[in-house]
Amino acid sequence: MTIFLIFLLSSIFTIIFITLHLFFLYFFSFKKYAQLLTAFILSNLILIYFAHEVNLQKLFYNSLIINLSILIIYFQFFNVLKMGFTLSIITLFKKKRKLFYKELINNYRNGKGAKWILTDRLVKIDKLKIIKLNKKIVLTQLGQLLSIILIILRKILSVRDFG
Amino acid sequence: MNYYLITIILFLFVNYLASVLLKKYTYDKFFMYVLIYFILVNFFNLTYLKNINFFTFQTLFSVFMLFLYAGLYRSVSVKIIIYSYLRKKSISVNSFYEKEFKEKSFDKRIKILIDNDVLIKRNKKFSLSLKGKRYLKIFKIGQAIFKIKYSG
Repeated sequence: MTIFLIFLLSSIFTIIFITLHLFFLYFFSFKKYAQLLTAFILSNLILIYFAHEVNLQKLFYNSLIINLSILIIYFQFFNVLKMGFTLSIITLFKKKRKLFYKELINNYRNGKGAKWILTDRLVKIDKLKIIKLNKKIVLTQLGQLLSIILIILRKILSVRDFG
Repeated sequence: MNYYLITIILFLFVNYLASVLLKKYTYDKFFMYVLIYFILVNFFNLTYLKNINFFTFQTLFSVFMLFLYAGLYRSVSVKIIIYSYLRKKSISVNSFYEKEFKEKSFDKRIKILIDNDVLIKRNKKFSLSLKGKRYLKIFKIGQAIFKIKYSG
C-alpha cells in the first residue's frame, strides 16, 4: 500500500513538473536548463504542501528520491532532443528524402556541417576551463584531473568502447 | 546498510562479467542489464525485505547508472578529453576531426543506423526506412513541443 502512495505522490509531481516546465518554456525566456531546475523545485514545494494537507508528509522523502529519478530521465530525454548526435542525423531527412554522404556531412544542423558539433563541444569545454583551445587542443590541469576521473569511472563501469 | 553495499558490488561485478562474456557490450545491452537487475532486486526486496527506502534507493541508483553510462559511452566531450589525455600532447582540431571524429563517431553512427534498419543505403544515397520515418515523426513532435529548432 505504501509503495502505491509513493507512486501517487510522484505521479502528482510529474504532472505539475511537466506542466510548469512547458509553461516556463512558452512564456519565459531564461535558460532552458534553469527552467527545468526551477520547475523541479517549485513542483516539489507544491507536493510538500499537498502531502502535508493529506497527512502523507512521512512519505514525501521517499517520493522526493523517485522525483529526482524522474528529473534525471526527463533531463536525459530533453537533452537527447536538444543535443542528440544520432537524432540530428535522422532529422536531416526533414527536407530531402534522399541524401548523399557529402550532403549528410554538409547539411548537419541546418547547413552548419558535421564539424560544427566538434567545434561546439570544444568551445563548451574551453569555457569550463577543461581545455585551452587555439587551433590545437591542450588539456588544462583541471582537464587532466577530470580525464583521470573519467578513465577510472569507465573502468569501474566496464565501458570498453565509444558509441 | 549491508545489502545496499552488497547490491552495488554485485551490480558492478555482474556488469563486468557481462562486458567480458558478451560480444560488443553496447549501451542497449547495458540498458537491458540495468532493467533486469532492477526488476530482480526489487522483486526480492518487495517480497522478503519489504523495505521502501531500499526500493527508492535502487530506483535512483539504476537511473543514475544509466545516465552516467550514457555520458561515458556516447558523449563527444568525454571522448575529446580522454583522447587528449591519452595522447599526452596537444592535438590539432583538424586532425582530430578527420582521424577521430568523422570516421569513429559520425561514420560509426551512420553504420549503427543502417545496422538497426533506420537508414537505407542504395546507390551511394541514404534514405530513411519505414522505421526511420516513424522515428522522424516522433522526433518532430518532441522538438515542436519543446520548441527545439535544430538538434546536435
